[in-house]
This record gives sequence, structure tokens and C-alpha cells, in this order.
Amino acid sequence: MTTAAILLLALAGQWLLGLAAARPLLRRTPSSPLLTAESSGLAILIGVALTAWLSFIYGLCGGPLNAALSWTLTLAGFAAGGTVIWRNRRHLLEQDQTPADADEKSFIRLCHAVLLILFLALLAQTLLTPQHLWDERAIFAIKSAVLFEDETLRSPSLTHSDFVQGHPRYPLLIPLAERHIYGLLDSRDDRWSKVLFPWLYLGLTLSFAGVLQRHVKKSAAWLFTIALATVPCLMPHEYGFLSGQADAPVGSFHAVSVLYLWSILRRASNAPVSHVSLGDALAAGACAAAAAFTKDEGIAQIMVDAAALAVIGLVAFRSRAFVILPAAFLATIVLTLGPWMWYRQSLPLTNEMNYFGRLSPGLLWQRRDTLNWSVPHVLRRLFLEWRTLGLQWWLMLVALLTAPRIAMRPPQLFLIADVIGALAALVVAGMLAPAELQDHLRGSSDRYLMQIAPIAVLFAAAQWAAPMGDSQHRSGVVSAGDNA
Amino acid sequence: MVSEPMAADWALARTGPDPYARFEASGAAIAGLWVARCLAPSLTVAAFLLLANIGRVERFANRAARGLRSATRVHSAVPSQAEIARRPLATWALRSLLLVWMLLAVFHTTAAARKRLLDWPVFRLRTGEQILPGMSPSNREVIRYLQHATPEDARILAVSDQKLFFLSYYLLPRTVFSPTHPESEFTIPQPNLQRQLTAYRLDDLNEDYIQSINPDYILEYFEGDAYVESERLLEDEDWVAFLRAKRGDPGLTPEYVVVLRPYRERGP
Repeated sequence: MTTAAILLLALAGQWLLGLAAARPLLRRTPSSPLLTAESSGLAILIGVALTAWLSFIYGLCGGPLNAALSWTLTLAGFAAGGTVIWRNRRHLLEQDQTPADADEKSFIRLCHAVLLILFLALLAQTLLTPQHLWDERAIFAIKSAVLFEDETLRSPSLTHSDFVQGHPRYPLLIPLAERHIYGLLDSRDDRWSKVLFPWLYLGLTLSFAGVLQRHVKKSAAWLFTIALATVPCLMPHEYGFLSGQADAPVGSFHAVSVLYLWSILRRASNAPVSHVSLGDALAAGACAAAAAFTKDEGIAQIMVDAAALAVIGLVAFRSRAFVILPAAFLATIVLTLGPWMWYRQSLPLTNEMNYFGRLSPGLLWQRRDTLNWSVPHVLRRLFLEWRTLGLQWWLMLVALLTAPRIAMRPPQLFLIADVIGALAALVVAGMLAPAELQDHLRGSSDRYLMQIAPIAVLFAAAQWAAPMGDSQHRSGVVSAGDNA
Repeated sequence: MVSEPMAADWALARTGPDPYARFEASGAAIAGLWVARCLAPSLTVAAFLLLANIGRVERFANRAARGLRSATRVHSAVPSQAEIARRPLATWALRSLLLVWMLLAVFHTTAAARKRLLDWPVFRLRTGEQILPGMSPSNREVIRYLQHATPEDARILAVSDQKLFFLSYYLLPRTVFSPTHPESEFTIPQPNLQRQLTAYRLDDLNEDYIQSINPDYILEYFEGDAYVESERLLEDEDWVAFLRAKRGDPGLTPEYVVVLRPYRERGP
């Protein structure tokens, strides 16, 4: 019972800390409601990331990573979040301004109930399994356990090249977040630290619904949120949110980052560019940095996202805003990720793939033959393994084919570029990796595609869902030929 | 009233002779029984509430169904936004995909629930350290032996033809160091030693390196044919005694080499 109470305190503290940090980004007007699906979801994601990041910075400054730190962060979360709630007590909950539609409201309530049941089912399943997969223990849990035992970021074990651990240079968001839980519990049981993963699932789905319903009809936003929540590779697949692996968390952070960038482009398409919110760029940057602090794939995703945003934004809108927005996005990332990128240089390189270090035109040319295997392999994973991994790629393809003109609009082009860029990064990684190609990609491509699965669902939602506030649309979805 | 033995007997009658399958089946049946015992009262209350409010529930269900139909109807908006033409083909595609999607979700949820029931006999609410999940029985035996034979703060230098991540994880706060052979650095291991990893033997390590690690113990642990020397199987008497006691076989000869010795006692 004490364990359950401490876990609840831990999650509440992180959420409140995240809420205090997310509020300035999401405040549109003085009377903007505090507790929306978007702010609640983003608060979860930012809360988990910020807890780990603050622990990292404190550890970098020589502070001990102990129980006192965990309790201080939790109490700081309650203080900061409590203050924000008190100051916004008159605008706590969203007042539904949309025209009354009993059918739509009932359907949305049903979606809320389904999402709650899915979350509770995931939570129960997660807590029924201690960590038992390879990567979750070999790479992430071992670091969190050492950080808990040694109580220092500069652990002699983690900085030794022959200490037995997977990928010594892997980012520390998950290990530090797990250590935070151990610190509060004052014991190391890797079943309880897994509570973070369903929590991030809830953060992803709420953020997805929240941002999407700023742009499309609410019922359609919630419909596609339930679709996202039931993508099998995310839940209940063993390697998704059910496990302590980092793929689902990096997918969450990356998806929400892309969601905010997409939101910027969508807003710019429908209103003067000056109305685009800088807060969205900052939220996108914070989530992208969290993705890169979770797993190295996040770095490649940042490069793809920033390039796609800048090119599509500049070409489509010819506005200086699309210099400022990518700059704000990148500046947030550099500021938050900089200390980690600096620190990781001091960590051993043993069994690291070191993709960027190996990247050279000569090696790419030399290993071009690998494409003969990797491209068909990835296509097979996308479209033929739908029974295991889900139908999201078929959904994206059909949505594109049924509404090709919408797909040519800047926000949709951005999502297409994002997926193509991510797939290109995967096959390039196969070309660069020192491991045997088929072993390497077979064992990782399903998890990598899981990371970008939410983008496919977002693309379909944006293709088909009717725009928000279009009272002409009594139904939820709209298709090609619109606004052309 | 169904009792736990009745549930276990029911499951065992439907399971083959394999002892592990029988253990799993009886445990899963008991877990299933407890799930049913927990869910039955909740479902009964829920059913009662539904029946007591059947009119409201029916209205809600009808509205939600209309909301779903509306949310999945694809339209084609034209520039004026006043004329909206329905797109039956796109609507049909979306609804078909979502129908298969939901069926798939139900299938996966059911499979996951079944998996949890089958996992329950092993996992229960035990910690990972108690059950040492997802590893070979030999890894498990070596971890138990090292926990038995070394103090908690021990530094262990290991040479092995395996990746020792699980040993390193479950032996904490003991710290395990193991030099990785360059030929194995990026080799991905396969289950049941299907792929032999190239490894250092103890003689390959020079004294300076060993001293730099400053170990309390040195472990040699080899399972692959290329590294197992039959004359060394009985070399570590404590290990052999531990394994014989664990497996209940006083005449057992281990199938793989485990030799643990304090660093200072290491011979020239």
C-alpha cells in the first residue's frame, strides 16, 4: 500500500512539475483553461523529461542522486504545479464552446471511457511483469540501478569501458527517471519503475487528442486518438509501452514534437503567419530534446524535423517566421540537450554503433548493396506485418490515395517528409552499422517503426478529419478537393 | 463454488505431460480463477446499474453510435465550404480499416491477457531478482552461485564467450567487468548459443590490465564448444558442490566451465 501511495505521489509530482513548465507554452489568452487534454498530456511528458533532466544537471554539478533529490523534485513539483493551479483556479477546466451536438458529445465521452480502460489495462499489465527483455535491462535498467546504488552521475562503473552494460553512451532519460522512482521508494524493484511507461502512453494520447482537436472536429480527433491508443505495436505488444524499453517513450516524445510542428504549419495555412504560436515551437523543441535524451534515434529525428519544417515553411509561406520558428525549435533543443551531448563525450564507446562517426560518402557508396535487402525488408515490415505491428501504414497510404490534394498541403507534406526522412535514416543506419545487416535491422526495425507509428495516424487524421469550427460540417471527416 | 484445486485439475486434464507446461497451465488456471473472482462482483454491479438505467444507457448508446457514424463519414469540402459532397468510397475505406483495426485490437488485447495469465505462475508479484526472468538456465545458475560465493561489494573480472549483461544487472551492487573481444563487439548473440562469440581467455589478459581493474574475484565462464575444456569442468570445487546441491545430483559433472577464484589466490 505504501508503494502504491509513493508511486501515485511520484506521478502526481512529475505531472505538476510538467504542468508548471507547460503552462507558459500553452497559454493562448489570459482565460485559457488550465486543465485541457493537451495541457494534461504535455504535462505528463514534460514532467517525466524534466525530472530526469533536472536530476542530470544536478548530478553534473556534483550533486548526489539520492532519495533526498527525488523527494525534493517531487515536492518542488507540488509547489510549482500547486501554485499554477491556484493562480488559474478560475479557469481550471475547459468550457466547451462548440455548438451543442449530443451525438458528438456522447461519442467523445465513450472515447474517454475507452481510453481510461486502455490505460488501466496497460498499467495493470505493466505492473504484472518485472523487466524481462534484453534492451530494457542490458541498456537502460542497468544504468538506473547503478545510478541508484552509486548515487552519482559520474559512477565509476558507468564511466569504465569494461563495466558490463549495453551502449554506455546511450541517453539517460529513462535511467534517471527510473532512478527517481527508486529514490522515492528507497528500494530497487524494476517492476515499479515501469509505472513510467503507461504514464507516458497517457501523455502521448492526451497530447495527441488535445492538439488535434485544436484543428479538427473533436469527435474525429478522439476517434483517431483511440486508433493511436490501439496500435498493437505500441500497446499491448511486448516491446511497446508494456516494457521498460525506450522505443515507445522516444515515439511519444517525437510524436508530440511532430504534432506541434504540424500544428504550426496547419495554423500558418489557415491564418496569417503572425498568428502562429512561438509556444508551439518551444513545446516541439522540448519534446524533441526529450526524444534525443531518451534514445539516439531522437537526434536523427530532430535533423529530419528541423529540415522539413524550414524547407516546407519557407517555400510555402515565404515568411521570416519560418526562419524564427525552426530557430526557436533548434535553440530549445541545443539549450536543453547541450549538457548531455557534452557529458556523453566522456563516456566509453564500447559496443556503440557510432553512426555519425562512421558516416562518410565512401562508406555509403561501398555499402549501397545493403539497400537490396533493407528496402524490401522495411516495406515488408510496413505493409505485410500488419497483423503484428498494426494497420497504421495502410491507413496512411489509403488516406493519401483518397485525398491526394490535401496531401500536397504544407502540413501534410511535412508529415510525409518526416516519415520518408525517418525511413531513410533507418536504411542508412543499416548501411553504417558495424553489426551484421540482417541481424541488426531484423532485431530493430519493428521497434524503430513503432517510434514513428503515431505520425501515420496523425497523417490520416489530418487527411480525413473536418476542420475545427467549420459549422457546415455536421460530420467529422473531410476529404480531397477541399479548400483547393 | 470453483476452488483453486478444481481449476488446476481442470487445466491439467487439458495439458500434455511436459512438467513446465503443466506448471504453467495450473498456475494460469488459478490466476484466471482469481481474475474471475475479482471481476465477477464488479461486472454484476455494472450489469445491475446498466439494467437499472437501461433507458439512459440506450439513449447514450444510440447517440454515441450516431456520433461514431458521423465521425467516420468522409466528406469533400469545396472552396465555398457551403457545399459538401459525401465521399462514399473514402468513407467505406475508413470504416473498413477502422473495423479491422478494432478487431485487431481485440485480438491483441485477448492475446496479451492470455500471456499475462501464462506468465503469472512464474512472475506473480516477485521481483526480477527473485525470478531472474528471460535468460538461460545456465545464466541463472551462475548468478545464483556468484550471489552465494561473493560479498555484495565484490568487484568481479569475468572472461566469457557470452554477453554478461544479465549477470551484471542482477549481481549489483557487485560490479562485473569483462573485456569485450573486438571480433564480438558488434555480434548479436543468438538464443541457446547458436552463435559462438569470440572471447578472451584469462591467459590473454596481461597483469597490468587485471591490476587496473583491481578485482576481488576473477570468473571464467564458458559455454561454447570452442571454449569448454572438459578437464576444467570440475576445477572449481565450490561451484561443482553448489550445482550438485542445487540440482540434487551428487555425481553431476557440469556441462560448462565456471571457475571463480579470489584474485590474490590466482596462480602464476
